[in-house]
Amino acid sequence: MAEVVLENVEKRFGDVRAVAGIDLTIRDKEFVILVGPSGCGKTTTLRMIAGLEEVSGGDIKIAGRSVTHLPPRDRDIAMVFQSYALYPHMTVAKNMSFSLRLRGMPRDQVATRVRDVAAILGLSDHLDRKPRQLSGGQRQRVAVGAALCRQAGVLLFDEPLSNLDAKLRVHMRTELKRLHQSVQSTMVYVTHDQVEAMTMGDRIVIMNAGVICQVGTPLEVYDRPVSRFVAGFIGSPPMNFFEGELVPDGSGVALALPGDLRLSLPRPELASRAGRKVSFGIRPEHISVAQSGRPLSDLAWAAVASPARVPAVIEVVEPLGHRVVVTARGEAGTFQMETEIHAGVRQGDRVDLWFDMNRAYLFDGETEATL
Amino acid sequence: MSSRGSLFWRRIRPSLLSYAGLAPFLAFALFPFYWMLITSLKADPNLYDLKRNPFWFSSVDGNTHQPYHKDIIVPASFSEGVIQWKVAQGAATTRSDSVQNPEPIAFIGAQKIESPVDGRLAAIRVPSGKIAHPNEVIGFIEVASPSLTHYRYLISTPFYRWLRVSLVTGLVVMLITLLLAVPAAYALARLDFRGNRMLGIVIFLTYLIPPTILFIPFSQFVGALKIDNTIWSLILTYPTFTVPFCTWLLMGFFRSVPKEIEERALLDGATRMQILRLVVIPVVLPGIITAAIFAFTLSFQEYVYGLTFISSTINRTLPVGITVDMVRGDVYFWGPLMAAAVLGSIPVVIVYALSLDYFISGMTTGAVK
Ligand SMILES: Nc1ncnc2c1ncn2[C@@H]1O[C@H](COP(=O)(O)OP(=O)(O)O)[C@@H](O)[C@H]1O
Ligand SMILES: [Mg+2]
Repeated sequence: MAEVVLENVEKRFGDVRAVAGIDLTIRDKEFVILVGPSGCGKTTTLRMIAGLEEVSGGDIKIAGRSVTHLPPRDRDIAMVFQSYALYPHMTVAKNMSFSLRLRGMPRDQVATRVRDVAAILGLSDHLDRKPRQLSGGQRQRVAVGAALCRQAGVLLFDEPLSNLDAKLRVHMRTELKRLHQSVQSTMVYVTHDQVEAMTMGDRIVIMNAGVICQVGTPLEVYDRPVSRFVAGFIGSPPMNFFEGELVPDGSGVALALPGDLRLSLPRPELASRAGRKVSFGIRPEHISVAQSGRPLSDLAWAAVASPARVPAVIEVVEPLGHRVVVTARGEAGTFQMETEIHAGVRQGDRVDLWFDMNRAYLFDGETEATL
Repeated sequence: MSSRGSLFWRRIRPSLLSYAGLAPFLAFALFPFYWMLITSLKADPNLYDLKRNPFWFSSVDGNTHQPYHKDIIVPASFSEGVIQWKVAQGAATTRSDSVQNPEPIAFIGAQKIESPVDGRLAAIRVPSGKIAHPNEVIGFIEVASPSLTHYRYLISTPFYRWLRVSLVTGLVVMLITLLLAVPAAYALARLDFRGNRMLGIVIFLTYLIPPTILFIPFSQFVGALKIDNTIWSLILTYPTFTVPFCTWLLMGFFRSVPKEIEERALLDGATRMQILRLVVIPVVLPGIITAAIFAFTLSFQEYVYGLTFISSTINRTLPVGITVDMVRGDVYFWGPLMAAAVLGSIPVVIVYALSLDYFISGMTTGAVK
């Protein structure tokens, strides 16, 4: 049992409020991702859980016990640092077993534990090497191995993959996810990379400017972002935003965008808000080159009830393999869409693009909350 | 054998060019040591022979083209008498000032004639049984160069006492320095407390006050503690410059240790002391050894305090002893001076050689990233 609970946790560095009173419950054995732009307070939050940073206010509980004023070693946590933090003078085996030896575990047990963990991480052949004799990826594994050896209730990761090259990063992502299924630890994983966040976690905690914006499963935060910030942060390429206004449209409401573009909205309940400034958001994958959705084979398109026509000029075409990212300019502004490589769009084409209004989002112009 | 040789060449060849580039600097740096060494090994007549190549030895006089020799002259204070040689022609002689009870090489009556130099009794002018007069040249000794004569002479001086005083002082000061500077530097580099930065700067400033100013108040302390003319006066005063210097030096080393590895050790369950002992000190060991060497060499070469606090010849430190006792007025005894300098630099060379392996750059390589 290693549930982690943060109650109104706050951290000030002088006048800077790095973490501005957050509440969060991380369930036992859950894999939770803290994600947000650089400087939003993720590392600070993690370090407060670890006990490396004192809280300025609030309470932290691990496994039902308040640890707010306990030193790090009494919190039953292990941490993988962004910079790996290996002991340069110790071999891989000694690095991994340091905490066990400190706690006086018998030598044969230590050896067994190290051997088992090394086998899981593919480090068995490197146990006698020093960190400087290892590649970046291997060092990263040693850092993970050292944390696993502890068999701590909570494992903390601070951007552990950010120093690896792209290929290795994808590989380690899968590996860490697999590890989580085999170890009995609660994992808290910090990253600024929304792809990592979406692919790895059971739940994602999106932070911005020291506060939590939304907590949910990857699907929840993708489908139902609570604010413009979350909507823009999750998804790649990011969601397109247009500044517009709600205008009455018969019994319902329509969206007026710059360039005299009027898109009718399938949202009659917003009629009372006519006249308000809003941000209109639509993901690149919900824009299509044809009204019917063809030649897209997306099943989702079949359910489209109200495709809205937007004339545009294709400016850039970036093939990503079987998909292409297309940058287009319309009257309302520049936006990106994603389509099949065989859709046949070329730079300079004047085309009609179709927005799937059922998958569009509206955000309040002032509060930026999702409408 | 041949495979070994080729392996050697394969190893060496890539660095050959860099060695070639370094050679002039090496020659420049080593020249003073070379000069010191050959000077210490040259017999006096060779040393002062201006007609000979000064960069190497010679056994032949540049003016006369004869082997160097030294006349054996009957002292003016002697009264004339029958000479009795104790050393056969061609036999080796030993300079009288390098042994406890020198064997005379000849007697004139009951008066002893002693050998002034190391060499070989090359010729006898006045054979045994003949009368020898004051100021008469009774024979001469051929002087070989190079020779160890200046090193032998050091035995008659308190050289080895001075060396011991310097060694003991250096080692004790080194220990005291490490005991104080390691924790001080760690605290200044790592622990967050008020006035941390200020204290670091003040410590460095104290190092900048020259000993030539400090020795005046210090001599008051030394006098008040009644430790003047003892080794304690040095052991207590040398740390005043070694500790600030080494603290400052070590602060840099401690700062270079990534904070994360200490934090990880904290999470791993180590106490502050365990972190220092098991993680930080092993990682900065090269730095600590560097500091130890500096503490040792700074004390070993110290001059002003050694000169002012120690008054008796026997308790002097090596640098003071050599310069005070081997320079009389304006006469420099270059041979013994250089011999003493050579011997005095050996401990430092040994200390450096032993620790050479630790002077490796990138001691924290692999810790982070
Ligand atoms: N030790 C510190 N002293 C002062 N400010 C800090 C310190 N650590 C972090 N901060 C500030 O707190 C904010 C959050 O930092 P951090 O938690 O490291 O962000 P993230 O990990 O999300 O990039 C930043 O504005 C940063 O400048
Ligand atoms: Mg961070």
